[in-house]
Amino acid sequence: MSTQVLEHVRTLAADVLGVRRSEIDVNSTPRQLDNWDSISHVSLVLAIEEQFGVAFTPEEITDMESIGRIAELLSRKLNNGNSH
Amino acid sequence: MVASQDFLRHSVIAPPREATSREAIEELVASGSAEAARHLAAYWQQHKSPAAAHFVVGAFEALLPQPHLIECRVMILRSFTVEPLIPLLRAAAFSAGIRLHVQISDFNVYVQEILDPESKLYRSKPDLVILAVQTADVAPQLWRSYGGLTSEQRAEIIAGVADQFRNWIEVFRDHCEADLIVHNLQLPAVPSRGLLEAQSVDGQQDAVVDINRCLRRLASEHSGVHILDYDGLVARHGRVGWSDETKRFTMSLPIAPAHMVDLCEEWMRFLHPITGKIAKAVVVDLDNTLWGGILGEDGASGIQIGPEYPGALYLEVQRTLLDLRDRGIVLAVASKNDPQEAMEVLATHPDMLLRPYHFSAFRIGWQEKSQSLREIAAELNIGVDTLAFLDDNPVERERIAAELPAVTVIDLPGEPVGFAQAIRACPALERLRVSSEDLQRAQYYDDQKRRQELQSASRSPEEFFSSLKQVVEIRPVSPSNISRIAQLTQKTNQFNLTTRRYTEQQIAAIASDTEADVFAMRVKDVYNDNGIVGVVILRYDDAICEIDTFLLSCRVIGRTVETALLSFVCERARERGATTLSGRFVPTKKNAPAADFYPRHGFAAAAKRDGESSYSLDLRDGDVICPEWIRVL
Repeated sequence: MSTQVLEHVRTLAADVLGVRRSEIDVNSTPRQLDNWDSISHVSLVLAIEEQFGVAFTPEEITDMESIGRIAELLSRKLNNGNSH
Repeated sequence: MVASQDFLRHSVIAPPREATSREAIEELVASGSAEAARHLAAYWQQHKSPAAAHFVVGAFEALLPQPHLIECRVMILRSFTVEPLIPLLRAAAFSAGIRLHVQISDFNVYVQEILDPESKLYRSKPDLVILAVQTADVAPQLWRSYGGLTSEQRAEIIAGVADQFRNWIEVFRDHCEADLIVHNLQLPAVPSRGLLEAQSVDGQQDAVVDINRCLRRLASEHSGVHILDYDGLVARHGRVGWSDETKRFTMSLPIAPAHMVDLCEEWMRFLHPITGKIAKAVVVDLDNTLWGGILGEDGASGIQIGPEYPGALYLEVQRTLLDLRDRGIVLAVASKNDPQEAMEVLATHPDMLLRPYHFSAFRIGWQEKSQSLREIAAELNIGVDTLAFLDDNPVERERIAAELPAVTVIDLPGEPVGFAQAIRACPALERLRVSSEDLQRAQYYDDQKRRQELQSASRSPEEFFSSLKQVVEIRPVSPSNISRIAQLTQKTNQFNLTTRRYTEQQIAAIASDTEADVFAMRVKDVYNDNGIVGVVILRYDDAICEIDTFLLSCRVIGRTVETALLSFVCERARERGATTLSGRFVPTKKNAPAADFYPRHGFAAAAKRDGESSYSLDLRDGDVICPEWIRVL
């Protein structure tokens, strides 16, 4: 997982969840952030997909249990050069 | 646009709106700069993505309160997931100066929301309600297993769905005064019956189309109810790519992430007219906007306009502007050009579609465009905030955006091939209905303009007539013109020598009489085709040709075309072997303008009886000469 990808995900998550960037780090989880509910989770996934031109499987979306995990799944997709 | 600015455009400045980064905007927002909102709006225009939406909305909210924002409460009743679209909608609305407060009904309870007078819908006192339901939810039998339906079942389902919508709309109107936008139903991308669909006359697609037709009728029967052509929107972007099947099945989101912004922009097209964020006039530049090239350098013969590329691109721009005018939107010109040269092109260039009379105000000269826009708004007696500005030059656009931020600046792409589309995409130019007042306004300005032109051009009447370049077509009565001929005999009061009213059947009877002729006259001029504006009916009795009817629509009075028509009559009467042409003037309360018609053309007064005057012209030595400035076809 590249730092660059992690930073991108942090920025997007801060925008979508409406919190400061400093409140989010690699270990942040939905449980720690009040705004991170199922609806904002969908919005976050859509924002990432649209921004990076990737598409996650339903299983991957369920698996996104922390900012670090999201960045990891995204990195994997970007490295495979495979958006679907 | 002038040469010096052309230089600027190509060399130095990328306009600031393209240069503002997210970081720069964050700084502007933090410092509370008055410029922040404008740069945020530009940022949104460039990015328009789910990722950018959250940032843009957050930044706009940090700028609140902003007194100029229009507040609007929206309630969305839906049968699918719309939550991820809301930040995009709010970002687009903020950029347009509208602060949206959006509420969303719970999933699939839209029917209860509408029917229960105590529901969240009515308690929230919305300004606008959007009813967004899917075909699969409201007409599941049409969406799935269609092949098993009999034509009776099909008709029943269509009527049932239409009745449901009717009931919802009527109940809604009883409880709520808000505007209501109803999404129409989407056609299936691939019909259930495959190829069989196209072979049948009562197919699945047609059934949905039938329901949509009912919806349009319902909307027309209720004020403030508008149809959003959701199926048309999906079709424009491609039915197959519109939905993302994974999102549809896992999130009940039937719209692919990349298309979410398209639905939001469609909603915005309604929000502009609903909240009054509209442009009443479009102020257009000339060089490289209305035509290709620079008049001052290329000359009237060197500019690009006409049916061939690249002139066709600019013709398309003109056609698009004409469409706006039909919507009641006024056109005006603000150009840095030599006024005489520019007006000459507008009036006389053979390939121009737009003519001077299409425009209601002109500022052609060397002053700043912001000044021109202020003056045009004052002249038209409308607010500067109701102007839209169309200019190919990004530097001019940026200046107007900075100096007159209330003006709608239409963002044009670098290449003219995209100009017409950019105009059509501008939501401030949308209307939900066109009142007769709107249309009359444009007409009123036109008349005023035309009168001014007549005055200023009258160095001599002959010169003015010549500049009109009138072409007259005189044709015998035919199925294509007979109803217009009858209509003119019934409606024409002023320039009507005998005021005899005829029905279409009576005209047909006269036309079939071998001892009579009926002719219609069409007049075209440099401005436009006036259509059929003159009628003459002749009756022959041996050597006498009697003018039964001679009339001219008031549209063309005072332009000497009556002389051309009378000249034609002389010729025709001679062909028929007449030696005397006789006519009469029957005075009415309104036809004084025609009183001296015959004496003015050399006819001798023959008799006067009961107020009627008879005149005659001896065709053996008398004649009526067609004016040299009129071409007769």
